[in-house]
Amino acid sequence: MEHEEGKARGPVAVAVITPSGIYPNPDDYRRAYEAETVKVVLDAAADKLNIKDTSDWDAYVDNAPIDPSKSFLGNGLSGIVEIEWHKREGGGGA
Amino acid sequence: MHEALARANFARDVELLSPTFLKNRGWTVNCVEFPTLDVTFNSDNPLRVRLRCDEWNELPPGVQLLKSDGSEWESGLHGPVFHQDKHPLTGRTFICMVGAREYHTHTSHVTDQWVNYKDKDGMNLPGLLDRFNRAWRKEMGL
Repeated sequence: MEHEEGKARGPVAVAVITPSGIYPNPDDYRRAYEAETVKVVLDAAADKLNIKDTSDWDAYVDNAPIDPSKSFLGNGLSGIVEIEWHKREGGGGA
Repeated sequence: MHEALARANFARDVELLSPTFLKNRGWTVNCVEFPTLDVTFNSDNPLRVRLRCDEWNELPPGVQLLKSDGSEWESGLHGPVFHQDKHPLTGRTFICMVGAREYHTHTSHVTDQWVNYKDKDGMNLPGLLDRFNRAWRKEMGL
């Protein structure tokens, strides 16, 4: 990795796209930083979109799961980032 | 349930299927006309789901599994979520997952009632589609 975790300061343009709406809005991105934890942005999205319980929600970027407890850089994310975020699918069994 | 209420609930949810949302998910909406919501999850192995949303959201949608051309799946489903064997009530292949009417009416799951889920975050129509899509990708290795 070119930058050390926590030291990178490059900007990220991020959108969080959920079944309850899009954060910050359908036509724009929020500015974040590569060293910022993804969860900070997801929490802001939940607050704005009035989503109360995300304890069993999963996040993906370009169809790959990401770890919200890590930074954007820690997840290998930079530039324009569109996060798919929704409730975990659960399993079958019948 | 009064049809006007189901229709209003349906309209509220499908409004969230915006162009930005659909582009992010890689889905195509084939039909959105109450009570039908017909969506294709595009991929190398696409799945088309036709949701029958009468009684939404007192009841979860009935879900028909289709190929992208609208034909039925005759083979290629292997469970545990996407069942090749036939549902005892519909006689069709089905999704065995909370949020699909066929799950809650299956003899194995009749005690797992939709009423315990319907008001949770992420259990609206786009949220159910997200869960079906993610299960499909997982089961098919996409």
